[in-house]
Amino acid sequence: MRKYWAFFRINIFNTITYRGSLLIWLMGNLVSLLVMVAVWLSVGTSNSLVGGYTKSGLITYYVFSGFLWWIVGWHCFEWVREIIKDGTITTQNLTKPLSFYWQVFFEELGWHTVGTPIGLLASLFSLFIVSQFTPLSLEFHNLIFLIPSLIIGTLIIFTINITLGLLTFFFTETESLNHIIWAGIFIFGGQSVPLSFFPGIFQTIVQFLPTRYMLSFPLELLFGKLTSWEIAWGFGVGLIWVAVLCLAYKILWNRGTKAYSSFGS
Amino acid sequence: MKRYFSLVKTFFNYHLIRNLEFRSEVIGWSIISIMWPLLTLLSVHLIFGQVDSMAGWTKSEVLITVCLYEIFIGLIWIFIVPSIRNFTQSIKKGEFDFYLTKPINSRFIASVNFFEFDQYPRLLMLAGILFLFLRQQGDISLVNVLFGLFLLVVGLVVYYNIFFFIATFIFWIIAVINLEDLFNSLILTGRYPIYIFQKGLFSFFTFVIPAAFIATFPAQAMLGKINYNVLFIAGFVLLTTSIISQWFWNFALKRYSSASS
Repeated sequence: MRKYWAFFRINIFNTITYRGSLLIWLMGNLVSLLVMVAVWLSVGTSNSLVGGYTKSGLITYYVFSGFLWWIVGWHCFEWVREIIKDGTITTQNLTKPLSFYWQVFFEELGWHTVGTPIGLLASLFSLFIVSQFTPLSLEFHNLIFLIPSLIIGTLIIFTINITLGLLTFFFTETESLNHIIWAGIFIFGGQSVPLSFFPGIFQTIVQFLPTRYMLSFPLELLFGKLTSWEIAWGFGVGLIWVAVLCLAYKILWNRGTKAYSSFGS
Repeated sequence: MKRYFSLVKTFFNYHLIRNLEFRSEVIGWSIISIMWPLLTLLSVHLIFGQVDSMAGWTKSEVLITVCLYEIFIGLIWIFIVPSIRNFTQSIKKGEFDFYLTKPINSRFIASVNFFEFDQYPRLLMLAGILFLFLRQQGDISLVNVLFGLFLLVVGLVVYYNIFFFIATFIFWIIAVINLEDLFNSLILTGRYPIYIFQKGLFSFFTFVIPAAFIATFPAQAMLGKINYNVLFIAGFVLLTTSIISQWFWNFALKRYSSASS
């Protein structure tokens, strides 16, 4: 465990060194929140509920969505792709008695240890700004379920990222694959609109997609939108996705490291 | 002037050949570049499944705005961002000296040294969708469409100036790796009609960060819902951003010391 702790610490220092990048992400987060708040303040509707939310509820939804993104938004794809492509993985990982999965995990955790408190501060500031529109009453049992749902969400995003990154073992150019994850979360993960906005059958389909468990499921729990049965079902499906993705990772890692060849290092 | 055109042509041809060498990469990015606008349009469709209007704009008017926003992004990613990204990387690697030692304006060469070709399918698709949306509106004149396109080009030049101004900070702040995310954040404010913002923010996003030129003004022009007074704002914003951006570039260049030589 100590060896992984070293990666965790190194990435904390890296994140602090590249704090400019962190601030840019913070700004992006706040701008998208500002846009969505402005959108929902400007819409005209004859219904009191929009997709099961009041207008104020939707504004709160985007504030919390922005904050939870700081917790679950793990971006290791780019780094994994880069080290496989330039051959660094040979000296950094393949020749060392380390689990690649956990090494990358702890490195990412280092980033989030610095980034999440900053995101929390920004979100509290945003909540204060929009406080007149935020009627959310947080209930204890919602918060209890929120933590395991965030762990599942994080594991799903992280494992998808690292697994797609491993495809670089087989294909030279995989950069565009990264966008599949973000596009999926944007529309089917509840980032652009709550999943309750989807009509009929599509709403049922998105319940089964892994993207729901990355961001939308924790938000649905937080807002108390789920019955006990739906919560249990959600955790079940989320855990199945974690298992499936870990298996995919394992297969790709075993096959990829056998097929991989690099030179110069 | 002939030399400048010849240079643009050379860079363009070089990157076209480079892109043809990495066909699978271009195809992958082209698919992604088509997917994003479709998802954005889908999200608008989902929002309008629940509401009747946005800042007084109907669904089809908002879709036209979002379409123009996505076209704007496509153009930015063909003509502006790749060169600026390449320029910032050249500073980090100490390769900027190669630009300075050439008998050509350094800002020019920093602005046109890289072209991407994966955005063309996106532009073609969006042009088709925009045409369909405009036809649904019925009475759209060619003059209005041309006026809208003119405002879109004004927006591109304004954002080129803003992005270049920001990128110039690279002379001092090397440790920024996600400049493109900053650009995306700045553009994001123009995705929906700018009238979603209340008074103070509306002025801010018209004059300070002129997000209205990304899609709102071009959409209004195409829909015939804007008067020609907007040209005065366009002239003011264009002139101001050009002067500030060029002044800052000259200021930074005087203080540049290479990392390699």
